[in-house]
Amino acid sequence: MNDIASRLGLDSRAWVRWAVPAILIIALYIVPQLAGSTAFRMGEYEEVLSFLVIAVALNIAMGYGGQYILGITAVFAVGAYGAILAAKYHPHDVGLVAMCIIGGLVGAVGGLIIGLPALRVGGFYLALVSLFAALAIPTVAQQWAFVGADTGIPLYAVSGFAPKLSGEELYVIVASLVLLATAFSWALVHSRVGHRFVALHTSEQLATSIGIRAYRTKLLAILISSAMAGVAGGLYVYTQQFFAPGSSSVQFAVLLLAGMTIGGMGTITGPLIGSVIILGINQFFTSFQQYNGIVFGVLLLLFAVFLPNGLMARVAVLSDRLGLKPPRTPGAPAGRPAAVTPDHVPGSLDGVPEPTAATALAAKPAARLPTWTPIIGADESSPLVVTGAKRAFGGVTAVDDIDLTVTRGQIHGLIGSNGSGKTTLLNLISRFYSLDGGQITIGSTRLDNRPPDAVARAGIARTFQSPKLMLRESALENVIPAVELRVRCSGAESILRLPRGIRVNRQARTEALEILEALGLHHVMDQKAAALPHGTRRLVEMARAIALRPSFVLLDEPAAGLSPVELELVAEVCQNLARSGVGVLLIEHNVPMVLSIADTVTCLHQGRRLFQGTPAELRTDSTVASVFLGIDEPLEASS
Amino acid sequence: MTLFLTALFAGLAVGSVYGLIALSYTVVFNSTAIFNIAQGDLMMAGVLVSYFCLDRWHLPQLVTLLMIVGVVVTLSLVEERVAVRPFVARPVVGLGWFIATLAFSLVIETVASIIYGQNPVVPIPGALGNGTIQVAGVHVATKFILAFAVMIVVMVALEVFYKRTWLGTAMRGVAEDREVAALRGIDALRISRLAFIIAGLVTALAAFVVAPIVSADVTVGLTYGLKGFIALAAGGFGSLRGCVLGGLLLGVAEQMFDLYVSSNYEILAGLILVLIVLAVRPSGLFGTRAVREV
Amino acid sequence: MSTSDPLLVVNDLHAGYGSLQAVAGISFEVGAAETVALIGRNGAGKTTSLLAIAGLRYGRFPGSVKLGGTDISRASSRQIVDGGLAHVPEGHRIFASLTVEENLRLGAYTRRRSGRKAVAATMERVFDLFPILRTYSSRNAGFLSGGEQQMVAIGQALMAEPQVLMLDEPTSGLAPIVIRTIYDAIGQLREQGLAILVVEQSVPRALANSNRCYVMERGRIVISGESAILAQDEHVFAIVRGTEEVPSPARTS
Repeated sequence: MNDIASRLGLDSRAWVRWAVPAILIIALYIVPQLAGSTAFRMGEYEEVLSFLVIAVALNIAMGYGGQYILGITAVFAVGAYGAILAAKYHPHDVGLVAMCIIGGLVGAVGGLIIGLPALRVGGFYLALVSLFAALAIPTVAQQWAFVGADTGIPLYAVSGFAPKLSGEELYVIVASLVLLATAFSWALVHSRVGHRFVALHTSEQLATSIGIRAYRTKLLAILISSAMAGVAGGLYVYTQQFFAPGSSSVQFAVLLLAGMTIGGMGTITGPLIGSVIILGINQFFTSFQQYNGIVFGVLLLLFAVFLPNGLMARVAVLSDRLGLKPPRTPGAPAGRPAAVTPDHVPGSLDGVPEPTAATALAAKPAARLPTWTPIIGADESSPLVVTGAKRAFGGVTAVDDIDLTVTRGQIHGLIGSNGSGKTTLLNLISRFYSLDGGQITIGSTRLDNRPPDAVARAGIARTFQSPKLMLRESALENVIPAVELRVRCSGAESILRLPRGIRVNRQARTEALEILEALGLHHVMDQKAAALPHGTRRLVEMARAIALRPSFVLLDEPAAGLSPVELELVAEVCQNLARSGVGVLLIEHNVPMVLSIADTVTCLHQGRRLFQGTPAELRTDSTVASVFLGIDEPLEASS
Repeated sequence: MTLFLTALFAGLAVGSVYGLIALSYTVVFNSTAIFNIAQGDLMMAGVLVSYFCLDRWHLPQLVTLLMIVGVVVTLSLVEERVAVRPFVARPVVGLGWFIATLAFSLVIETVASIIYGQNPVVPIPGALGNGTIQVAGVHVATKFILAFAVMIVVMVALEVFYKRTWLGTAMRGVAEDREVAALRGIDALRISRLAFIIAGLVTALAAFVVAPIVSADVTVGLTYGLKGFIALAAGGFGSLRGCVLGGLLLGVAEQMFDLYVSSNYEILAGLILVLIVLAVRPSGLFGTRAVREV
Repeated sequence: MSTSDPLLVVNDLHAGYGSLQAVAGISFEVGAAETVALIGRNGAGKTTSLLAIAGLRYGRFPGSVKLGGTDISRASSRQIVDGGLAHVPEGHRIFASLTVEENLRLGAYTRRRSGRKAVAATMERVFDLFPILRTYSSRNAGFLSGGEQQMVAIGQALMAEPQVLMLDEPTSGLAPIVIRTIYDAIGQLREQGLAILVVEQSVPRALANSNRCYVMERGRIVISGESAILAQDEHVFAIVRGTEEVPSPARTS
């Protein structure tokens, strides 16, 4: 069992967490036996089950991908209409499968039409535009005779339409389809595609820095969830044999959102449980339907304010405590607790443990660091050349005509006081800012007109001043997406666990693990990044950058906040990278550290280059000493 | 030609309502970076008050206006306390703030439908009566002109407020950099509350002028809320003039769609408009500020 | 050394972010008509100290801050400004979309009830201190150079007519001429009686422009004394440059 588990990429200790879903699955199949199996009842169950598929779809896009298609019910409606019209005009040829496929296709198209324009602008627009679509589609349908206007299309009245499945049989199939959808979403989330979604959701900067194409990934998230919502539409009309504008309203979209919030987005079971609760309340309150809105509204508000991660986040903490809590070492030293940096974090951090002493850097890194010969961008041997870089913000010139070359196999230190332009320059090279003037090239390839993910894919990795990690993922899961940039297989192979997909998934995992081990991070590989202290997070981020196997690494003040031991490791890693043939650009305040390992040092002052040369030359240079260090004599007398 | 002009003026009138809603959105998120989707339902609540005051209890127009302002501003403040304040101080984390405001709008809508029921609201007598005047050879209802005039006045008042008053300038500062504002002794929380009061006032005015124009029912809150968003998207977030222009654009687009394409599918006008604007000029006609990242 | 009671007294101040303690118990004081410098390496806790004093507290911790005798440890930032303390954070942060004049005016927000004339008079004094701002008064602050923005930031803080002024790296990234202008202005303010606390990155600059100096390292004050005397002390430079470990216990000279 453990073997199967590890092959599928599962944590073998997690079987405890399977108990709940297993019980739920069994319960799902025997609902008709428990709660009644009249035709009417069956219809009700099947209705709920169809809605659950929409919840799964929305969870993929929103909970994992961070794409807020609140109005996904519009896509559901469009898919449903497509399927029911197909059945109406070809009642003999169209069955369940056909309806689902048609629904899926129509839904996908609908999702793209709504999603594409909004994507350019930002997630918030997507939320509102889709919500407006969720309002508009039923309103339009109400007036359109072709789709039956207000009364809709009664499929049961269409002669020739005789569904081959009904009763218990149909129920089992529908239930199975829901499980299939859920399994698919699970497989997706734990595949390379899912990793990209989560990275993007965490921070677009993080994602692009490891080569993820933001636009394409967002589009994929919308496409997949729209298709699924469309399939739900097909499923719905097959089982209900009816669709009208009232079947999918804006209120329904709000209900769905309520279910997602209460159950908890970003988990697999959360939206399902939440939706069942909400839909259950809806049914239960039929006699008090009037007051439904108040109950839902208040419930939704309370959850949004106090429990934004929903119920399942709490359950996750509970299951962690039951089975997986790391042993506390009595009398452990205070260690360095983490600086909680509130970057763009999907969901608040409730349900995630605080950093503890046990998660501080305890293991020794490998006695001898492995070689990390460049793989990405290694088809060239030219250095990274920056010429005439210029950048101003409003009236402030941050970078003014800077030339800089990072040679492969060498460490180039970049020092300067606050506001000298160091970080701006790094952001310009990695294309998080655009140049006002100048060029950035590697050999004959120009980089200054490409998006940041292209820079990463050209072989330039970077770290951030404040480490950007996926806080709710483990250290290992943070490094894997970087490996997946170059260990390739198609998305489908990864999701469906085809042989090549399994092989590649495993290879990515192994390589990520190797790098973590080399940096002495083996013991934290399964810890959530949020639980790691600051220094460890920095190292994990460095591991991620290395995992790209880049030709150049840009390090943004890696030493800040590190203990002496960690500092030593960072210096060693830089030297090892250089030995492996990687060009390192090291931005730092810690001048002694830079002087001890750099081959070349550039000193910036007020956006201009003040000095460029070897560390020895810098030590004897009086301009640097007076302007930058502010003393009258150089650090050392010139010999 | 007459048809065109009639539709144009009608569009400008309804557009003025959209513009007013857009203006109240702008006031709120210029201080909090939060887009308050409940604004439409707040307006709808005001319309309901208008109905009760004018149609049921036959109160004078001025009293009605005061009642509307009272109710809408109170609801605004409640919303600020309950659904917005918890989020303003926090760093940006997902959609929580949006869900909270959506939840609030749901509650308002439900309470309204309990009080009033599901039927459409009957036409309400306008403040200037039901007369018309002649403009360019076409009869234009005075209530249309009132709506337009109110919107222009509100826009100008807001511009003066932001540029010339202590509070308005402080609001702009808080929107720019909360921390520096705090260091200068500007209480950001109080500013947020004031923003909601002002937004409530603008929304109340919107309710007052829309009630005679459009027969509504209790479910149109979200519709107006979303249309207000489209006005903003078209005009550009952060700009007062953008609100006005975006609102008028939407209103006119809808009426033209009615006239030349089909009156049944009027709502598509808004959808098409927003998709075109996003495709061609994503920041809107006058856009400046970004809404809180989601 | 000032002979009157110190205006700002900090005692055993702690502060931090989340579970990270950036400031682990510092005590110092600043008196009227004197400039006190606070120096140390990046990450020593200087910025956090000032932010904590200014009322942007990061968590509730032991320690106290007294302003003119009144305890402001639990005061809101509004109350602190009213009490006469103004802080200029690092990075020449101003309201970029507002004009210079509007920026300055907002600095006097807490005094707005004292009337237009009073506020205008204060603004005139700021313009006297930084004449170039008078020229740019209706320009959007975002279009000024870094040095000019810093002057706006300082002027904005002065508009509240504080008795204690704190500045966090007011000259970082600026040209030598601008640095001179700003420190000249700070000198003038000191002569007018303000108590001034400056965080500086450059040790010589800090020592040349202050009466007394404190050195911070890893959240604690490790050296303190008269600037003229510390300027002769090799250890100070070494500690800030990071080439020497901290001597323990903390030394005063």
